[in-house]
Amino acid sequence: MNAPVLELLVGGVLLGGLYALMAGGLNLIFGVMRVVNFAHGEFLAIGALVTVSLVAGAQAPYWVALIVVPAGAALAGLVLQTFVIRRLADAPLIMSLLATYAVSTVLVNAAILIWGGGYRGLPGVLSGSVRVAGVDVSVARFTAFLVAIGTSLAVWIFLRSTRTGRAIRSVAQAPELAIISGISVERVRNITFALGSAMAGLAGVLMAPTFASDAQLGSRFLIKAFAVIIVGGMGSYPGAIAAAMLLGILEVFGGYAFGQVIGSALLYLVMLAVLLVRPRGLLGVGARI
Amino acid sequence: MTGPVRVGPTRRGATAGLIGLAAAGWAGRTAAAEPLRMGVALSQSGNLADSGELFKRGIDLWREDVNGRGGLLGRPVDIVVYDDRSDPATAARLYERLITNDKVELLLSPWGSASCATASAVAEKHKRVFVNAGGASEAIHLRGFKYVFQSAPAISAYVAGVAPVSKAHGFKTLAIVSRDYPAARDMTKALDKIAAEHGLKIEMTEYFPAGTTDYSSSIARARQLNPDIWIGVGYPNEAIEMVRQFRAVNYLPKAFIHNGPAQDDFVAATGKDGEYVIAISLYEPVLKTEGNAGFVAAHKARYKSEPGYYAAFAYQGATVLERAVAKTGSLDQDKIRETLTTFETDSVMGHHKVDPKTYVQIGLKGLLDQIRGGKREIIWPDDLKTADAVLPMPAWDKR
Repeated sequence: MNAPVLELLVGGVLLGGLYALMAGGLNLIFGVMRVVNFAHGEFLAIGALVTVSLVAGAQAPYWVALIVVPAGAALAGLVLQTFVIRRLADAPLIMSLLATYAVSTVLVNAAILIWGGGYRGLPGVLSGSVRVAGVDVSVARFTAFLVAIGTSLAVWIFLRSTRTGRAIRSVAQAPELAIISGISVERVRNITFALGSAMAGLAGVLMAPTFASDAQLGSRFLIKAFAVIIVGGMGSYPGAIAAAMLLGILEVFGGYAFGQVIGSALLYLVMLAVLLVRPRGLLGVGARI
Repeated sequence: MTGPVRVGPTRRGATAGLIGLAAAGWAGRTAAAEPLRMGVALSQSGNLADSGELFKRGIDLWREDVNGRGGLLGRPVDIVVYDDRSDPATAARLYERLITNDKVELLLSPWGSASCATASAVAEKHKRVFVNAGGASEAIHLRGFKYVFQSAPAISAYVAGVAPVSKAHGFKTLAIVSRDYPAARDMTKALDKIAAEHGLKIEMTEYFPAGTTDYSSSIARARQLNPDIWIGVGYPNEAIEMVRQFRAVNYLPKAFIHNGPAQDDFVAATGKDGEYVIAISLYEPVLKTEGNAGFVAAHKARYKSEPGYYAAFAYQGATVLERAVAKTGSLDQDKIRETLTTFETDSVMGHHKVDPKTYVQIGLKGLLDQIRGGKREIIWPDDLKTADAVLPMPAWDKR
């Protein structure tokens, strides 16, 4: 029996799109601020739950969630940055890691208190498939994929061609020089954290139609998102996209050939291999973005 | 580590009055009685936190009931609750602590086969009675343990309806796609046996690790092998995401059977796409079993929803333990053990009876439901049927 290569490839690439979406904000925040944000998954989960409440509960159109949720997430990110992360700016990496882990635990439990312990969904939103070249392509996943690529590209262009973007990059690459040049590191960090959080919120909005949303939705993806940025190279945008696709494809083909347990394990084996052989990642260039 | 949460006889909120009345009821009779302390570790965080919370509701409702009845052996029941973080090793450690440190007098079961497997081993080591209310896996009881009794339905009961439903609708082939955990391995064994006896063919057997959210590779294989039935066991989010993904890639087996759709969340989260899916249920609020009407009413009053089977598992298990202890008339673990070996009783899920050698549950039978018009209708067994099955499932665009 021949493997349905095209179907598996499409499945893998679209799965990669979801991983890229999840990894985007995480990568930006690490690249600029050296903060491994463990609460990223909870921003995503709460984004998805708010989306369900807005669309299935309050009957708002889906596009409203696409605007409101990332905006709300940006604001929440700014609050977190102001009250927690900023205070740990010069502390060792482990401090912000522990702090965001604590925030993540608080957020999970807050979400359980608000939305309960069960699963929620968005039936009828972006559901169904379109048939392209003999393969049924999921509308929801294709949309998420396009948005993941689009957002990554937009952020990349923003970082390259705008004044603020260049300020962000200079803070990432040489904070001392940035300060001497009159760049407000504080402002850059605020913008970065808000932007990264907005990306998590957006990922939540786009994942709500596909997955069973609950307070722990993010934690089911977070490890894979870390795998993506480790393989791609922490802080590297094109690297993260390439790694997300690679890992998505590997998981689906591996799952088909050897079963899903091995398929998932392959992903972590690649991560391990990259850490051992090329710790800065496939396209990682130190910590540049 | 988090400290124990005491679920004592007083509670906040709307239920305070109710409990107050209940408390007043037994206060007269048991004014001087020291509370009977029971211990449980269940998942309040980690990947089983959602279903663990529903399981805990069953324990809470039972505690209120038993205290309303005057307590156990004339003493009010107090429960020490720990969070096992959905981790079987943590569960084992916490049961060790409940027994040696907290010195609880009776143990309640954790939620999930994995934690029940480790916790029951600790109980056995200390010669403490352990009524397994949360683990369907039969493997838990095949280790020669003397103090461990299953009140949860054994996994073979889950799939007992597969052969008759297949026969009625002319289904010949199956694909098994389950979360990789002990209950699933047991289910596969049970299905292998059923398949051999009834001439069904198992086309593929796949397991996926906990936390899996993508089924592309399994769907691709199933599309090629084209089994009549896709059957799996796991958690509700997995069933929700499977159906979503079936719909999203335009794949449809003739029947999709899973235990997840037995939870109300499934219907709300999948809408029209979840219609015609078959739920492995084991418990339904409409069952005319002993005490069920009261249990459903109490659950509705307290949680604004009907109980699903997670809550029923807990309630059934606690009730079995309560009655066995009451029948024994003492907390002597060896005497309670002796009682449980042949103990039979009826509670919300049905008739409790264990195999006299392994203490695997053999009294409880499974149900198969089909989601129809947003509700679960019982389609098997025939004597409990509330609707005729519509199979094969109608095409996605014909609904």
